[in-house]
Amino acid sequence: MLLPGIVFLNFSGAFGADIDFSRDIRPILSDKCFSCHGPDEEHRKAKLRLDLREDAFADKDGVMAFHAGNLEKSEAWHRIDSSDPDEVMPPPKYNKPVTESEKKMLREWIESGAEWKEHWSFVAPERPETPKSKLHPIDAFVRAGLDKGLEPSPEADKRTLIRRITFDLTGLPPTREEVQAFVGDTSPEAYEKVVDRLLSSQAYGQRMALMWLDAARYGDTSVMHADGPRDMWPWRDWVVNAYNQNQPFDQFSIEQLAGDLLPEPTNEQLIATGFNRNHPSSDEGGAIAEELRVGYVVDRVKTTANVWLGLSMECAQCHDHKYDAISQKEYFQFYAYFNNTADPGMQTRKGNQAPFVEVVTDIEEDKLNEIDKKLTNLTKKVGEAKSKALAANAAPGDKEPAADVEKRVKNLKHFYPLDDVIGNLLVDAKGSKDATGEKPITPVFEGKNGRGIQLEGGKVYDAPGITEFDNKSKFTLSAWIKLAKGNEGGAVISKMDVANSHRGYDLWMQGGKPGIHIINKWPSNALKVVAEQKLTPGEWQHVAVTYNGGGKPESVKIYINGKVVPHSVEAKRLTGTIKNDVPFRIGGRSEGANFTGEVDDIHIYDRHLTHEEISWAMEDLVKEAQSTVAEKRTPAQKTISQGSQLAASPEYGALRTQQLRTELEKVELLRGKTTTMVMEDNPADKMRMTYVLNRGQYDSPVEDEAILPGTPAALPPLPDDAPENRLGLARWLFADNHPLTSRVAANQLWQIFFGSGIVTTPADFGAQGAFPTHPKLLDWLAVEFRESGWDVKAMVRQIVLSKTYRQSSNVRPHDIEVDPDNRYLARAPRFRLQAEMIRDNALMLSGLLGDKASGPGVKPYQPSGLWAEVGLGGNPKFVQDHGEKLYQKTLYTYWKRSAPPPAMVIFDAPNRETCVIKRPITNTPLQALAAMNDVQMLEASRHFAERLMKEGGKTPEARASWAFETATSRTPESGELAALLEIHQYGFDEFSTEPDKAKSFLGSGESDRDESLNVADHAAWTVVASTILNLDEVLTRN
Amino acid sequence: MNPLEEFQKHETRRNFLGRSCSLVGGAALASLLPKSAGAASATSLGGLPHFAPKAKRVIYLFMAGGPSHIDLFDYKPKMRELHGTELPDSVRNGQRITGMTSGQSTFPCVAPMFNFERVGERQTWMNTDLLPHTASIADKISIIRTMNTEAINHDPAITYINTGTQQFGHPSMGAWLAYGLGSLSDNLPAYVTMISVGKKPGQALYARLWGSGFLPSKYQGVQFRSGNDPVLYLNDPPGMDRSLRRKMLDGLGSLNRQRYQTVRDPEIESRISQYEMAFRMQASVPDLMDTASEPDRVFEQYGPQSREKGTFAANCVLARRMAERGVRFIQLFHRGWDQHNNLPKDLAHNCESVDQPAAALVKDLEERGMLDDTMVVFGGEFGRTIYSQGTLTKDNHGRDHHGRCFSTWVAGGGFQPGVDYGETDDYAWNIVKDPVHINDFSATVLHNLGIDHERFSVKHQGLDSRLTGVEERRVVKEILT
Repeated sequence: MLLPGIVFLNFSGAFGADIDFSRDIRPILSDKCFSCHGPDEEHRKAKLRLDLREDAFADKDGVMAFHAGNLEKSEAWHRIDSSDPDEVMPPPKYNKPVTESEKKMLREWIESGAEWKEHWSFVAPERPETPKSKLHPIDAFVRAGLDKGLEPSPEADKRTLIRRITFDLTGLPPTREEVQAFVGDTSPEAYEKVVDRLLSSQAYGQRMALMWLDAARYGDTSVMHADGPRDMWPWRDWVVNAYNQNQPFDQFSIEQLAGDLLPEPTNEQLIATGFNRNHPSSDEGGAIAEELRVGYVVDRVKTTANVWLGLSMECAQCHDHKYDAISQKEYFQFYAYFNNTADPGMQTRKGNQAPFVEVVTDIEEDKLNEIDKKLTNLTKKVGEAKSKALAANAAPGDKEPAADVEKRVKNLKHFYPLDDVIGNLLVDAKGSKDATGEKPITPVFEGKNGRGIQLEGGKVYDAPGITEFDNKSKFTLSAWIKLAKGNEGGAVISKMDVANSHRGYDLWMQGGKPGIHIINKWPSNALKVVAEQKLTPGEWQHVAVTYNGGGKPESVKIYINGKVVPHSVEAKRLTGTIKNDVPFRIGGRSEGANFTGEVDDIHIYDRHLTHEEISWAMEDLVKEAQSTVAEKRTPAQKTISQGSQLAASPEYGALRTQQLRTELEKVELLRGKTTTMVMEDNPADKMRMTYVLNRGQYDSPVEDEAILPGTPAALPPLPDDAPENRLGLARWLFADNHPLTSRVAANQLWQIFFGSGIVTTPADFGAQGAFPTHPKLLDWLAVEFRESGWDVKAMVRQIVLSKTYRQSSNVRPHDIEVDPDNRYLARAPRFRLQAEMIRDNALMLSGLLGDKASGPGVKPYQPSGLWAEVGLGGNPKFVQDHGEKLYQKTLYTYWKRSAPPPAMVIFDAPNRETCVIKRPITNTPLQALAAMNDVQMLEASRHFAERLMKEGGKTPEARASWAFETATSRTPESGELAALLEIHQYGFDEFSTEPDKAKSFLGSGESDRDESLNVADHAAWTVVASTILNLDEVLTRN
Repeated sequence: MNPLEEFQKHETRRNFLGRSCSLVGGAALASLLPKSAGAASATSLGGLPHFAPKAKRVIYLFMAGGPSHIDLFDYKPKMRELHGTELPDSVRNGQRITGMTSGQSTFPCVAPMFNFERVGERQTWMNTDLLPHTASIADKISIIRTMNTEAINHDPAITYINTGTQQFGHPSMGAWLAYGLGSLSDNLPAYVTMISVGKKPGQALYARLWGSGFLPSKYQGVQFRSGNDPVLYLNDPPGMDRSLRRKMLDGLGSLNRQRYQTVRDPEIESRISQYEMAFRMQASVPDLMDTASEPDRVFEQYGPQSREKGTFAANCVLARRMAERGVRFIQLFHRGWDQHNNLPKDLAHNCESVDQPAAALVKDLEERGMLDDTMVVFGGEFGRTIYSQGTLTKDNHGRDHHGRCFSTWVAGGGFQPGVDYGETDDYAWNIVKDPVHINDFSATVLHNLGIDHERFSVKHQGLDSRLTGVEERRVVKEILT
């Protein structure tokens, strides 16, 4: 890149430091030479390597690239210094001439003995000796770097300081009370107390997550092709919680990289692995699945290496890395860790792609616990009532049991005699899976076998937990049915999830003809057959349908009154599962298709009854059991007759209904559960082999050599007992002698609080990355972090308690001349708030900010049409939320990655398609427009105005002053106050003469306005409030 | 430090050092603003342009979805003979095709179901059923018939041609230019995109296609839209008139300047200037978008749809107005060119929306003397297969994606007029002569703007990243003036 040379010169030249190989020389060699004389074996020229000491100083037939202390004998120097275009290095074609100042440094370096060091970041950090000083090591190291005519700045005033630390640790401004309390607290620990208060707030984790979500390329959509919705927010909530619970960084990392491989992982540890499921995925019609799958693995390698190793490992996918010691083979060894994952290349565009886990949210969990407690209690009571009901004398009976009675009912899993008359309970006299519904039973006293029930007006009865059938199961469904005239359709019984492509089965009436649906996905993967013969309305007729599990129309038989009837086929191929999690229902489907008519004796067998056996389903089993001599009843007969006894007990009925309702509530709660995608490896017998992919192409594996998982040789070896999987890799990152992880992580934390890292290329600690501005400080932080047990809060605490952090950010003329970029930190940095904080700040000041702390992303205001303009086929459409969802912290805003929230993007938020560890900060007119005219900001201004009118005092002066102070944490100067009052006066005059204008001006946003406030005055103050929200000082962390 | 950041900070510092005296009043403010049109070097990156540019700006008419080169620009009479015959293996030669047709048992070739004529001085073949207006400017445009890409599906292909790579996270061509060359206008963005839709929206677009990737977000394309807010958040809320906004901004400026006295951070000055530019945009953008002052003959030239906001035709009129006002890179996306089926009808529909306005734009620019320094590009992310996707009937068929060759036409701004470049085989399947990789094409666009694509790079993750990628690419000098 072409830059004014002045900037680079400043680095070492201006301050006249001695030549430091790592800081001054290696970067030149790397940038100008390594591409042809570095680690990349295939493209290496003249067999010369300049990244290794042995090679750089090797005597090759009397020629040495570098000769320590001797320019004359240093061939590389001659080539670099040459003016002959055929001889000069790098060749002119390379477009990277060595500059004069670089030559000067190289010359000095060679002449002074050509000291050589390994690349600094590949040598494990050791705790450096702290400069002699009473200062905290952080400050001591920073001061030691200041001997360039720079002086540390004084501590920032308290108001600036509390505003700074509150934004940095919580993403929000301090309240007036918090400012007052801090200003009033003259104790030496005042600041420390504030820091500890903020570190223990819920908002701390939310703030830290903002950074991590960028790194993890988190979003609510799949990115590629259709960019459809997915649910990964449980992972986002996991991150917030992990920060708040101060999970040590090693655990935090290991769980995200390999939580699934931990021994007996908890659900939380599985959720954590969503980190590497956040990448873009596709199901584009024409795509080649393997090409996509390889792309996902490549993304995981890149993101993992960028985030934890600070290495641009992605550069070694197609050839050896040109600058760092990572060969292409080593790349694929690293790749092998992620190549055995179970998720496929083609992934869904709608929802989550397996593998995923179900997630129970806190609220749901509380509810579940409550239900379980209730159930335990009810179960006990039901048991007692049951004993009581059965103790009553049963009908004596006078017949011998028939010989085949047990055989006939052996496969009868559920039997609803429907003789019940009390309440809402339908007893299952065989399987005890009773059914209940909202509406009381309408008994039919003249049933077929004893009483029956009348189904009408949406009377439906649900039974949880009945025997599950699948597409290959054999089963029989039967019932006595009396159709009502004119009402000849609907599901008599079903277990069908209408919302999920009608998955399941039903016993179906269609225009008076009985039939059945057995469905995986309607209509593409389903069976539907319907009898060609109608039932006669007003007559009891027996209907039975048998299915032998074959998945074809001929696998089904329909019987009317015990005789097979011909049927027509409406769907003919079933190959997928029919299992679902909705309850069994008498009288309809999970949604609609309610049946009207009379029903008696519902039988469900887990076998397809034969033609000879079908009459079994027609018999009056209750009567048969009850008429058998009590002592001689078979076990099945006892159960059946007891069912009748239970149905007759009002006490049992009431309790059992209550119990069932609670069970159904639980089923419903569990059904609504969200899933979140997780990592999972293929089982040992389905391991995927890894090969080097020639030129990185998915379809060019070099199959001569299988590649096993492994880490680059330039980094410490894996322990001998390390598992050969992601868990081994994740633990290796946290080995005591690992040179990168601790530095990279400490640098990321530093960056949060100083806007820029000690290494300003946070994702590249390699040869082409920036050299640290304070190498010793970085090493001190790294070692301190590791030795603290990777205690994130402790690290953050040390950083923000430092004097360096607490300095004033005011710019002194001398500083900006000497150190315009503030690398040496003679003042605190001052930078614009990140996008999310700008919105959250406005919501907080307005009093609108909600307290949502988990759950699916919300969709606040955005200009219309943005999704449709880019969406596949114009879909999906953006549907804005309402009510409190408009005012939640921006962390919870739904993130569609092909069209991210526009105001966030305008303020430099990335689209989150790829890992971003540092957001650039820009300053544009579009930002001005968004801050002034976004409905969200205008509505916040309106409410901020309301607050200042109500809380700010009576006079305009008091109100303006109150608002200014609330937003900036300081009182306005007289000139500032005057400027605000002038705006108010102007607005007030204008709006007073045109109250309609005022009204429409106050119409931004969906929240109500306090109508008691004078319209013109409110409008005028809203302009003032908007002005304040647009102040540079308010948009900035000072 | 990241060199990019260096540049940014340097800009700020230069700003500061250049204005060490105190900041008072509007007159001082004016000097903070970008230089007005013409003085391109004032806002371009140091060292750029590398050599004298032939073009100042680009209007890129992007037909998203993969327009059929066979049915539009790469016809050969031989196709009539091939119609209905099986695509020979010797032509496909084991090359991969998409998952949508790889399962087809037969690959019958389809000749275009349109009338073609030889047009222009060079007597080039053109579909005169669908492109009569383009045919009328045949001598002003050059057709590159050998554009090619490795991608065979939309998402990767459209990302590739717009950002130079199939990987995500890289800047779009417009963002590179906004970064490298800056703006020619002091009240309009350097890079503007507009989206219009053919018969059906079809394939998706993505913010990344005009995104800034690893460059700062200020270089991303600003989407201009046909609704009430042509630029997001442009309009002041109802009830706020210009004078009140002015009053508010005066107050805001005064407050910010007072703060500057204490803090002395040059970023504050920059903020003030951005708010002033926002204020100017509130006037200049509506003025730009309001085509009422255009004479009737303009709308006649661009066709009946040009009076209808949001159409491609209306956007072409706007593109010319933007070009006049100094927008550097104007990209019009027209969606719906993915004719897997129903090609004869749907292609006709699309062409009806774009043929006349695209041709009118070239003529209009020429009449205004602007074509010489404005590049106009018309093309998509790939072409389509000679074989039919799905059943071939007497009057209907579809075509699958084809990346091995496709056609793009160019006009003005350094391109020779009236030539055809590159040759494909009878099946318009393989390139026979003079291939132009999509990144060769990008290199050529940069060249016309005075940029050596090899020297125009930004260090990102250690690599000198370029718009034209890591492979060797060439400027297609044969078609340049």
